[in-house]
Order: sequence, then structure tokens, then C-alpha cells
Amino acid sequence: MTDNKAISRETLESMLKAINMGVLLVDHDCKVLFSNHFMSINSGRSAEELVGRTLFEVFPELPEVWTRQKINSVVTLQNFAFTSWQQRPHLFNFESTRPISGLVGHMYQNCTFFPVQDADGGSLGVGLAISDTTDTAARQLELTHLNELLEEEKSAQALLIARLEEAQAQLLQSEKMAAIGQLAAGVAHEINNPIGFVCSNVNSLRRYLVDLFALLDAYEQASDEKHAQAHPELAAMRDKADYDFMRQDIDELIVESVEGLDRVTRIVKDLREFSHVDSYEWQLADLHKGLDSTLNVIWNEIKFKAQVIKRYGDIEPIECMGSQINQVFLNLLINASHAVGVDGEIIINSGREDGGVFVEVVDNGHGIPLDIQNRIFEPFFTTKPVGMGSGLGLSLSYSIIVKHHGRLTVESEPGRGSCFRAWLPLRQPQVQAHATSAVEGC
Amino acid sequence: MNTTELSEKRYTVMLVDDEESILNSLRRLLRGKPYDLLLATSGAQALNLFELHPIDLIVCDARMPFMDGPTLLREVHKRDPHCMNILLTGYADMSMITQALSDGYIFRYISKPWKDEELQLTLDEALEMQCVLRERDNPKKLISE
Ligand SMILES: Nc1ncnc2c1ncn2[C@@H]1O[C@H](COP(=O)(O)OP(=O)(O)O)[C@@H](O)[C@H]1O
Ligand SMILES: [Mg+2]
Repeated sequence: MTDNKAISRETLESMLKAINMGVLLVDHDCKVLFSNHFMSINSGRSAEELVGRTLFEVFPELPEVWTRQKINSVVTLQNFAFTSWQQRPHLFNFESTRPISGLVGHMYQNCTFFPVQDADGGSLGVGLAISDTTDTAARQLELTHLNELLEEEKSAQALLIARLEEAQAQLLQSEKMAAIGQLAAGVAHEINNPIGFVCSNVNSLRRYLVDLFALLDAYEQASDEKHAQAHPELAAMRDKADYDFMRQDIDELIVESVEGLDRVTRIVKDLREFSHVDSYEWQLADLHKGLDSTLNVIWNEIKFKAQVIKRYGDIEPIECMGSQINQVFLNLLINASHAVGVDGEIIINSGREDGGVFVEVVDNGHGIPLDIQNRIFEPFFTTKPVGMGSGLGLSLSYSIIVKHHGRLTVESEPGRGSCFRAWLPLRQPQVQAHATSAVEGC
Repeated sequence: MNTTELSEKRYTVMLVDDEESILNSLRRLLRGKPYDLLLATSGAQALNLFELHPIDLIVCDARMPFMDGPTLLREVHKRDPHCMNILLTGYADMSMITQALSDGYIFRYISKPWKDEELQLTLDEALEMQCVLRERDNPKKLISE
């Protein structure tokens, strides 16, 4: 300012009074020396009522210890101090109208404390400049709130993405299974032709050999000593070919080949059933009959390994695809027979439960380690040496039971044995639905 | 069963498969049987042979190029309902098989890989059945035999 004289003290004072922010002047003891309109309007007290009293008499909401410390430090250091609405939102208990909602609430304030000198430059007291920051605070708080909402939304989205990823993984898994199934079905079909003629040829070969050897024996018997002497090269040839060994070994060779072919046939059959290529009829079937015929089929495999104890309960025939359910029994029984050692014992329990029937195959074998119990139903999961297991038995069984709207569960204690339990409903739900809708349609 | 009667009676059996190895293995399997065997590697060839010879029984692969098994056997059945038809299938396509069975143009189906005994048994049964049918439809023949 260059033209000081033009502005009188009165002008400055009236300007201080009129300014749209609170202005207070207090002495070292916090007694009010000056107060402007803003303070009067917001506190509801005239300047006369305020001046001459301590801050704490007229504004009891002010924290006294804190305020005195602030004022003392400003006096001592002759420097500014500041408090923001974030630190002390409502230093003075004033009201204010909210910008958007129009609701009346507490006024947010910033407050600056500044040293004031008298005309001689001595310390007169401390000035307080109080500004209304309600608008800013409201906006800021709104933003914070919005941020929180966004944050929440973000975490909800993250959750959703995680779920989507899981679903995607499941989809991929089932797609993979479908692809494997299709591949398996194709391979199985292609392999059946060569298996067909190789099996049949091996059988024919076996028959041919029987005839051939009979013929050779006859020749041998017919040839006397004279003949042998006349043809010493025959004995040499016989030795060179290791004839006696060959004759013995051919039997074994054929038996092993037939076994190998049986294995291929079984794997292909497992694969085909696993991929649900073959369809079967739904019918009412007696599970005990199925169990007995299955036991017959594999009796040779089981009889030397374990004692089989049947504890059949009283169950009624259930609606199922009999050949497929037998397949499940077959797998469970074979697995049990593989698991048991000396004094092997396989118990078959059956009974009614939950409006359906259950069949349990319990063995006292080596059990299943905890860490693989949830993997045994995966296709191709096996702990058995090559030739003993394809790893398809349980996955196939599981999908058969699920197709029957049943449950296949396992309980096993390593070292003590395992219990596989199949539960099946008496009737298939969708078939029933058809039946009732047909009745309703009548 | 009367073996002398069996040895007297010879049957003409046709085997049809596009894969020659299958034909050969079947030929070996049926070698000791009183059958005169005809082999065909396609439906067309089979129909030609069918026109030239009276045939008692046909074992035919289901899946062949150009003319598949069911088509061939349906045609054969139209021309001679007494010819016993057996379908060999690489996989159990149940809907196709049940259709064929209920339409009556095949006697039985056998899935690959077949069991030799089962196949032989099925052929025996089919030929026995055919005797019964022929006798029923043509009693004069019974008297002459
Ligand atoms: N009764 C049982 N006792 C112990 N382990 C078992 C039993 N049944 C199944 N398992 C385990 O589950 C695995 C998978 O079984 P499965 O699907 O039938 O395939 P595979 O028998 O061909 O190995 C087996 O390799 C074995 O480790
Ligand atoms: Mg198994």
C-alpha cells in the first residue's frame, strides 16, 4: 500500500468487522480484546458481550489446555500456528447449512493463530482467524465416502473375478474331460478291429500248433533208428532250434499273449464306458444278484487273496442300468482285492438308507494316504504298477453313480483299510417326472 | 446232436468286412466247420456273390465305405428272408442295433472284439434256427430229407 493516509483506522476496523471469517484478538490470558461480526452472528452474542471475558467463558467448547498452549507458543515464538478441520473439525460450536442437502450441522473450521504487536512493537496478544471450511469438508468427506464405496466395489469385483476364474477352470476341466472322452471313444473304436482279428488269430494259431505238434510227434514216432542215422541233419536242426525248449515255451508265449490282449480289451472297454459311448437300458434290478454275478466273474482273481463276507441287508430292486452298476461293484471289489495282504478280508454290506439303498465294500488292506484321498476319483490316477491299474476304475464308477443320482464316498485309514460306499435312490428322478407328467397329461 | 447229419449238411456262409485281416481271422476260425466260405470286402461285391450263390448266412461288418452293413443286410433280407444275417460292430451303437433287430433283417449282433466261442455258438444257433424256418415254410423238403 502506498497511500496509507487514505485509509483511516475506522475503515480498517469496519473492514475487519465485516470480513466473512471470524476474527478474534485475545491477550496473553486469553481475554477477548476484539471480536468481529462473523463471531457474533455465529455465536449469537454481540461484540460487547464477548469483549472483556476469557475465551473459555464465552466459548466453553474450546479445549482450554490445548488453546492456552497454542496461544502461549504463538506469543513466545512470535510465529503462526494453525489447526485444520481435519484435526479439530468443530473448534467453535457454530452451525452451518450444508451445501447440497440444506441440512443444518456443525460448521467445519480452520483456525490460524497469529502474533499481534502493539504500536511499539511489543507483544499485544494473539489473533485468531477462523474460516468456514464446511463446503470443502463436505466435498472431501463425500469423496472419501465415494472412495470407500469404490474400494468396496473393487473388492466385490475382485471376488467376482476370482469366481469367474474358478468357473472358467471348471469349464476347461469339463471340456477337457469331454475331449478326452471323445478321443477315448474314437481310439477305442479304431482299436477294436485289430484287437478282434489278433485275438482270433492267436486262438487259431494255438489250435494250429496243437495239430502241428501232434503231427510232429507222429513223425517222430514213425522214424526209426535207421531213418535217424540216414538223416543226421535232422538231429542237428532239432538241437540248433532248441526244439524241446521251444515246444515248452510256445504254450507260455501264447498264454501271455492272450493275457496281454485281454488287458488291451479291458482297457479299451473301460475307456469306452468311461466316455459313455455305450448306452444302456434303465431297468429294475436286484443289486444282490448283480453283486453275486460280479463276484463270480472275478472269483478267480479274489479267492486266493481274500475271504469275502457278504452281509446283505433287506433291500428292494432299484431302478438302474444294471450292467453299469455291476461295473462299479467290479471296480470296488478288484480294488479291494488289490489292497489286501495276508489274511485279507472283504466285507460287502448292503441296506436301506435315506429313501434309497447303499452298498459298501470294506477291506482290511493298506488303506489310502490322506493326501491322495481326494485324487483317487480322477481319471488316470493310479498308484499301481503298469498293467495292474489304468486309473480309470474309480473315475468311471464315480461318473456312473452320479449318473444314477447317487453318491460314491470313501473312508479310509492308512494301515487299517478302506470302505467304499455307494448310495443309490430307489427311483430315478427324471423318469419319475416323466411318469407323473404323463399321468397329469391324461 | 446228430453228428453224421451235421457232417452231411454243408452251409454256405459269406463273410463281409472291408478289412481283409478280419476276413482272414474269421476264415481261420471257421475252417473246421462244414461251411463253404465266401469272402467279400465291400457291400457291392457281397451283393454280386449273393446273386451267384445261394447263401445261408452272412457275417457282416457294420462300418464299411460306400455301403454299410445295415444297408447291405436290409437289401439281402429283401431278396431272401431266410438268409441269416449277423452284424459285427466295432462299438455298441445301441440305437442302430435295436432298430436293425426290430426291423428283423438281422438275427443277432456281435461286437468287436468278439469271443471265438461266442461267435461260433451264434453261428450254430442261427443255422439251426434257419433249418427250423425253412422246414416250417417248406415242409416238402422235410419229407425228401
Ligand atoms: N480299496 C482300496 N484300498 C486302497 N487304495 C485304493 C482302494 N481303491 C482304490 N485305491 C486307490 O485309488 C487308486 C485309483 O483307483 P482306480 O481308479 O480304481 O484305478 P486303478 O485301480 O486302476 O489304479 C488306486 O491306484 C489306489 O491307489
Ligand atoms: Mg481299480
